[in-house]
Amino acid sequence: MKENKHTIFAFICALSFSLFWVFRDSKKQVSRAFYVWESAKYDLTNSETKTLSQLKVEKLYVKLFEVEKNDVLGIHPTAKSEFQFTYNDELSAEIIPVVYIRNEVFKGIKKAEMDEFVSNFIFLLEKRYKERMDELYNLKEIQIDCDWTESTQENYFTFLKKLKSKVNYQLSATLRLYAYKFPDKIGVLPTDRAMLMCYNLLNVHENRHKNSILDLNELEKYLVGADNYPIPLDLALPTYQAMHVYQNNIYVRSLHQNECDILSKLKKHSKLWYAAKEDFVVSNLFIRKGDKIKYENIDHESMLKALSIVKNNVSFATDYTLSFYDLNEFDLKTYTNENLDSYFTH
Amino acid sequence: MKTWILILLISLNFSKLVYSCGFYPYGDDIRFSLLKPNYVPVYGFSQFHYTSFRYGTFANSFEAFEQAKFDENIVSWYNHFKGEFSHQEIYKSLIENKISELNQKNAFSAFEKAIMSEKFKEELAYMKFAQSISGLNSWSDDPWERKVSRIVKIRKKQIKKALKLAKSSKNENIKRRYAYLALRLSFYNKDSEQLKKIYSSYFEKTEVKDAIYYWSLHFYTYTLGESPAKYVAIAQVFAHSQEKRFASDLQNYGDFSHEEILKACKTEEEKQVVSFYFLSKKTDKSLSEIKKIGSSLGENSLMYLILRETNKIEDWILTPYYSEFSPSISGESWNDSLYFITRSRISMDRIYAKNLADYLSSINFNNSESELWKKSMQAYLLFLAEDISSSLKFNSHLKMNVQDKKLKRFNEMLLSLIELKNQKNASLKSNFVQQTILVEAEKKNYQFLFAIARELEYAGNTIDAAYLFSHLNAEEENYDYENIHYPQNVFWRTKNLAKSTYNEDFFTDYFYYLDAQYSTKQVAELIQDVQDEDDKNEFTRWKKSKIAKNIHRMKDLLGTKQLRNNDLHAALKTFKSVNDSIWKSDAYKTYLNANPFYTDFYTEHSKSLGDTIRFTKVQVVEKLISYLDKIEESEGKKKAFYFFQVGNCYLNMTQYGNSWIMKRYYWSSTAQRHRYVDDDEYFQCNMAKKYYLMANECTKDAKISALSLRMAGRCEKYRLTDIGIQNEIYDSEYYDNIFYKNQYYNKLRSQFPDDYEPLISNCHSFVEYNQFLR
Repeated sequence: MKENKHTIFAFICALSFSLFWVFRDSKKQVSRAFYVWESAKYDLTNSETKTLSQLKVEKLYVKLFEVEKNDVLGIHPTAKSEFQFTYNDELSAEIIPVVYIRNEVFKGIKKAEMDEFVSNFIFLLEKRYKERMDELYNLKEIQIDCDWTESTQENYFTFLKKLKSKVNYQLSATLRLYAYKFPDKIGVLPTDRAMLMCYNLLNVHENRHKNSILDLNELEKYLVGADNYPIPLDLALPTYQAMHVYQNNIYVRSLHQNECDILSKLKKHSKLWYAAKEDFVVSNLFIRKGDKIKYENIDHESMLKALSIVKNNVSFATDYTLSFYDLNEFDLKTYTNENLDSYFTH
Repeated sequence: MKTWILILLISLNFSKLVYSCGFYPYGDDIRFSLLKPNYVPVYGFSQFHYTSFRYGTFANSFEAFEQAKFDENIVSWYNHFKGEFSHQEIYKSLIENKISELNQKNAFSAFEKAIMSEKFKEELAYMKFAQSISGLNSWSDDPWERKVSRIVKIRKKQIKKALKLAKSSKNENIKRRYAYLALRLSFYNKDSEQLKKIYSSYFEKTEVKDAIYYWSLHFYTYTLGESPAKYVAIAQVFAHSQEKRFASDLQNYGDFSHEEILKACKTEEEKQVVSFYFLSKKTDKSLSEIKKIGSSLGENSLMYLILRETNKIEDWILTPYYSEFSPSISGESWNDSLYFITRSRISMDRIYAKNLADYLSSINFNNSESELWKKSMQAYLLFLAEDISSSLKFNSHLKMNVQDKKLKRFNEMLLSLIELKNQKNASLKSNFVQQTILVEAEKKNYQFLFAIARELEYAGNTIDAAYLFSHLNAEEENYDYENIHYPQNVFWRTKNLAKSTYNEDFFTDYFYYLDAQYSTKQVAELIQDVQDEDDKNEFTRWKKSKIAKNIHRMKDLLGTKQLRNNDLHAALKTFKSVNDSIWKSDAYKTYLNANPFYTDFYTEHSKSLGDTIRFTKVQVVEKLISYLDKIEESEGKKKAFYFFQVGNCYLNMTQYGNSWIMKRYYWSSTAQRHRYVDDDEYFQCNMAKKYYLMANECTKDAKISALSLRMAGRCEKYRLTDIGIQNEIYDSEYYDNIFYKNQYYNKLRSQFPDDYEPLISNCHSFVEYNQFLR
């Protein structure tokens, strides 16, 4: 009987455990997030704050600065963000600073140079975080964004390891689809987490009839058949839009955010291509009747399809973050709050 | 073929100009401008003249000290010294000479001698101090924000010193100048609190709005948060400070609209200045706004806006009218509607040009120089409006003997264009026009020559037009040093967008233009005209010189055009008149070095068995004619042989043959149609197919018939492929099925089942079958 009791207890325990996992698998915890990626932006607009509040967004990945290298200044920070949080009752998101590092930084970097870079990096990151964010939040995670290649993999990973050994917050890094698909060629990130970036897959000018922000076929090509990534993944999807203006068949300039608010002045020519119906000026660019414009954005339908493709092919941890790139009121006009909410619960 | 060509791109390099791979002209490369901003006496706006770039880099051709009286700092010193010294003297000493090195021995001008005296001790001390700290006015801090730079400490010390000197100075102007130096150092030390304090103490409430005030305001704007009020201040700096105009504009992130900034203005004057700021950057039509604020502007600023507007209009009208490119900072539509849209725009823009001309007639400049330019611009605008009768009313003004050489030059060019446009049959008979062309040709003003060439061409005088085209873009070192920052070479297209060398749709060289656009008759007439022994005055000699030098190339072109029309006898006659040196030139030695009467199932540009002999264009056509004659005289197998040889020759004179240079002056594996008369033949091999089929029909020899069908099938493959490309079929299934759709292969299979397999599947079978023709 005693044995039986043990057996029953063990059975109940096992059942509870498996039920727990069934429950966890079917109900993954998705943290809601956005990127804030502007150097000149000072603060969120009222409408952006409202969106974050209504969607109960828990994290904001905010670019703090970028790092590049040249002959005169060596490795140095650039494009430092002016973004500064002001206290706001409605907003309670965690701020995760992000630093974009150009791949060139890691080409031929020497040991002493690497040590100095790591030290400078931590100093500037913490200084600017304290100056601009720390009044509200404690630093729990930082994210590194870098399009590393096979030739820079060793140095980049050394940097990440050194960084991790010197800080007590979580380290995450962005992961392009190529790196996700071919970890055997380009290595597995030595970080706590990786943010799978599902956008910006194609060269906009070379692929005139494809959406360079997110082409679903391209996305599928990368995801289908790839092995599970060895560290926990988060997911980033695009909500930005862009208009690429061509004059004399030559690309002239891209329009972003509120500059794209000119659709009523354009006539649709094909899926992505429009022509100006009249002469008008946008941000000092004189667009005349007949100009060609490639308009790229991700509509609601495409976003749902992209989510399905990703979820059917990528294995996420039980708690993961879904972040949209990026937060600005103009681009988000493409979606209703209900749309956005549905992506987080998809 | 002796030279193996896999992917080949050649041009018979008649032109000295070479553009890098992928080059395509746009923006200021194609912008047409007869009225160069640096001709017109407008000072201090060089970066803001109309250009397709964000900022212009127009070198000002005026003597530097000519501008001194427009430099607010010089004006401030001039006033300080109560007009005792000229603007130019002060300018030369402050800007060009080093005050710190000034001593009794090297003080030459009255100003320099005076400034050394006791009377101006305070002024000299200030100037030396300002010069000594100039090296501190730059950013040089630690980008990682770790170390407080040594320079910061040095600057702090100098700020203190400057403020002390400001306080102790008795002269109000010198006091403010010291304060400004301290304010500027505070800016570079990123000490905005200090900067604001200095601004508030010395400048905020001042009524002296001189250079120093606007310089201080410029640095002060950096301490202001993003708001419309900040841009009101930036606009003030832009309008009033030549020195800080460019720097102030760099702060413009475009966050606020014109209307938002206007709302933040406190006075009417501020509003006018803000409007001026926006007008200075607008790339669309601005006349209505210019009319509103014109009377409140200084003459220099008003002339600047009028000049900018005129430059826009000439771009909108003349760039497309002459070059067939769209205006440099506007776009083009899909090709099929390009012509209509561009023309409809131009007709509206011509009306706008007339409106601007009308506005100019309503204003007067006190500055006589500006007034003269205004009248010339009026005449130009009327020319742009195609109101030639009204522009002719300015004839006496344009013919006036003026001292301003640039104005004289502009007037002469304009007069020439008006005169040409006013002629019923446009010609270059006018002595005045001839002299103007010679002057401008000497200065390598290709845009002007091009404008004249196009006017002639449009009026039907294609011979004189060709002469002028031949003088375009002719030299490697083609700088007109007066206009060094302007695009000197011209690029143009044709109305039907015919293509030129390298598959591009634009031209830089007359030869390729004549090749693409001129008819056989027009080229023949041109050759005749070059050779006419007419009255050869200086102008005619110059006019004909380039084409006369290349007369054998032109004859080659004429023969080639006749060959494209399949006019073999005319082509032969023309080719025979070409000097042998042409056939011995590198291009022909390299690309006409194979046997055009031999080919097989597949060989296009690789070496073939038949390449034991090479021909000139004369020999190819001669032999082709002789074979065609022999067809008439022969029967049966012999007749089939000649049909087959003729078919081979026609095949080799296409895109896929070893003698393509008989009909084209360039080749690439991705060559596209160029709207030549024989594009169908060149890409579809119709003539070759016709003769192979005739060979098939005229013989009872099954092997020859089968071989002929096989070769006709090869031609048919090219035709079906070309049809796919022409119809923009991207579905690979279409190309996969071409083989099965090939009626000649199908016929071969049904009529000669035993020969089908060897002829289709065994490439070596050609040699065996070819023997039956012998």
